[in-house]
Amino acid sequence: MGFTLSDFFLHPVLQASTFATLLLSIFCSLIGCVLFVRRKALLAETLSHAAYIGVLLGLLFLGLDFLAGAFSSLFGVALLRFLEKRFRLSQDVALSVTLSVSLALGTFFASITQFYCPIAYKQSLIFLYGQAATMLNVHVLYFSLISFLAILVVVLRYRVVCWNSFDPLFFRAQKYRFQLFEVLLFILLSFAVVIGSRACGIMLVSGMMIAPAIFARAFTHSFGKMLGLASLMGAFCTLVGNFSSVWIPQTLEMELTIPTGPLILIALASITFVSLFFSPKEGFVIRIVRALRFSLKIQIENALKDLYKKRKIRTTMACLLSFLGMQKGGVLTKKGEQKAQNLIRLHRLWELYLSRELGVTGSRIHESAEEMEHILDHEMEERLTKYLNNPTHDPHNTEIPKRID
Amino acid sequence: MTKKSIELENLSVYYGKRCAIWDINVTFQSHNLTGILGPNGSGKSTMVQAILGLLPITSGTVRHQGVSIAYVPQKKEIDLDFPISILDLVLMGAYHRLGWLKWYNKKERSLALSIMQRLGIEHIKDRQIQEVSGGQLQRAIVARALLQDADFYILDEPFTGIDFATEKLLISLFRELRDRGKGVILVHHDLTNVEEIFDEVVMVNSRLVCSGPTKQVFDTHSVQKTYGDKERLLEEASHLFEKVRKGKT
Repeated sequence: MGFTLSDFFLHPVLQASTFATLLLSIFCSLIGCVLFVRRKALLAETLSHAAYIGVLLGLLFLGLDFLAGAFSSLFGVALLRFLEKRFRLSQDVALSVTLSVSLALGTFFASITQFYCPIAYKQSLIFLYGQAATMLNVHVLYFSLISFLAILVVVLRYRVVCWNSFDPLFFRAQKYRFQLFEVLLFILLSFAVVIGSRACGIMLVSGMMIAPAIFARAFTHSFGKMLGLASLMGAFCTLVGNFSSVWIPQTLEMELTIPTGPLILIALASITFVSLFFSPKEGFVIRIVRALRFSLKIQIENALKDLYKKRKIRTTMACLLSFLGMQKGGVLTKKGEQKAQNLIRLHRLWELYLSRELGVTGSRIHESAEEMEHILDHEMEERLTKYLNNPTHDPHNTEIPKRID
Repeated sequence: MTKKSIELENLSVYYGKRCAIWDINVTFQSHNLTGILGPNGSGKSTMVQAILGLLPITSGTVRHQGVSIAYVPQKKEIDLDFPISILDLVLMGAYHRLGWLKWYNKKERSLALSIMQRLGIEHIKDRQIQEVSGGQLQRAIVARALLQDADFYILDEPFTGIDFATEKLLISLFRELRDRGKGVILVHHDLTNVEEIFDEVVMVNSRLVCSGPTKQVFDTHSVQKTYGDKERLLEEASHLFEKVRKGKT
């Protein structure tokens, strides 16, 4: 049987699980954003391991999986708080202790489950590695409902989430009743961890939560927009992961099963990594573009000055300047002249400032002015002019031209 | 306007076994600009945080029934990496007037903007908090407190790491608040401008050294008592006593 992308939305078998997976990935991304801005990214990792114990014990004794998982991950939250508050352990120590102990207990219970109840063990494997494309049972209904409600709460109250994460002290000082909402957030976190594990696996669910947040943070300064971007990204990559887990074996015509989790994470990680390069804030690419733009600006401005002083300039620069409407047939236009004169004014003001106010002498004055003339803006020029008492001549006794606006 | 007050009675706070403040009795009145003075580690911030209920009180009481307090933390407490704009930061001050969803209305927004205009930060309302100067950030967190419209304003070291213009603006603002009948309490450590700023001072060094109108109590004697070594010795001795008593040494 061959699947295409549209089957994920239209095929009656796949439709429901696709829908549930999209909702749960948005849910996880939103919670991931909250963890990210609170600098608590490792919390998800720790809690997912704590959840594994619950999933195993739940399947073994109660026939419940995700409810028991959520409960045991809440227990993990309580343990962390206890370790931090009671024994004054630092956050990272408490996290690593809880994580490794959970893993140890999880492995122990897994062995026991495998021996006494192979069926339960098989079911628990779904949570360990994640298998979202074929979510057929009652999970679809539960997960969609919980995710939908959680998304609703976080989106509608995003301002409260934002403010509480930003400055919890403010609320404690005001005695506002936000503690209840904090508890609700932790309950949501526990559910996100377990529900996310169904798609991504316990080992990888924290990545699925945090990676969209990293991606979104690289592109925006607003918490609201960050939530939106992260959700889009999380949903998209989950879909990609789901699809390729079916598509890759089909294309290779091999009888192999690839869990969805790793594929979702690979998609997320590659996009996030690339996004860090292209981030408009500090991305690698934008820095190169800015540097190039600045060096071009220097070349143009130097050519302008040359023309102003009736020196020859290179043909390429002449073409560029005439394209910008700053020169025509080797003569500066009005626009070009204005710009050139302002540059020369800046140059001479700076020279005067260096020599008169800071006592700098020699060729260093000129060298520094050659650089600064491209950097000083209008506001700084006004301050310089005021500071130097609106001077008319520079240290070489040449006239400082007036500013043209 | 009726006078409101915050009363501290025999207040002591310990961090574990270390004594931060010890047996402090003082009353802060509204209609006053009060400075809490003392050297580093003398428990000024601890005192403020105890008033706000941010720290567990070891013994004694804080009385501030029916008094609303707006708190301006130290600038360094603020997470500059957080994706929040200056306007959103200021609007936090309207929290208690907003509904369950906390989506603010036009009225709160324009109120926030007018306060920001008064403080000269209206033009940077959309900037992320990382992209503003220290002085501008201080103005923003003060604007947030103003939007709370409280009876008392407690500010922790508002003059550290800001420019002179901001300092002057804030001082005139605090005076205006005082004249409107509010109580303004500043944690302060610079001794050079105490007489110029404060109506009253509370000088602490773990214990209360003195409190009262600046003209009466702020002199070389009280400064020496606050900043001198005498009190330090007392604290160290009591610390040592605790350790020995608990069998730690």
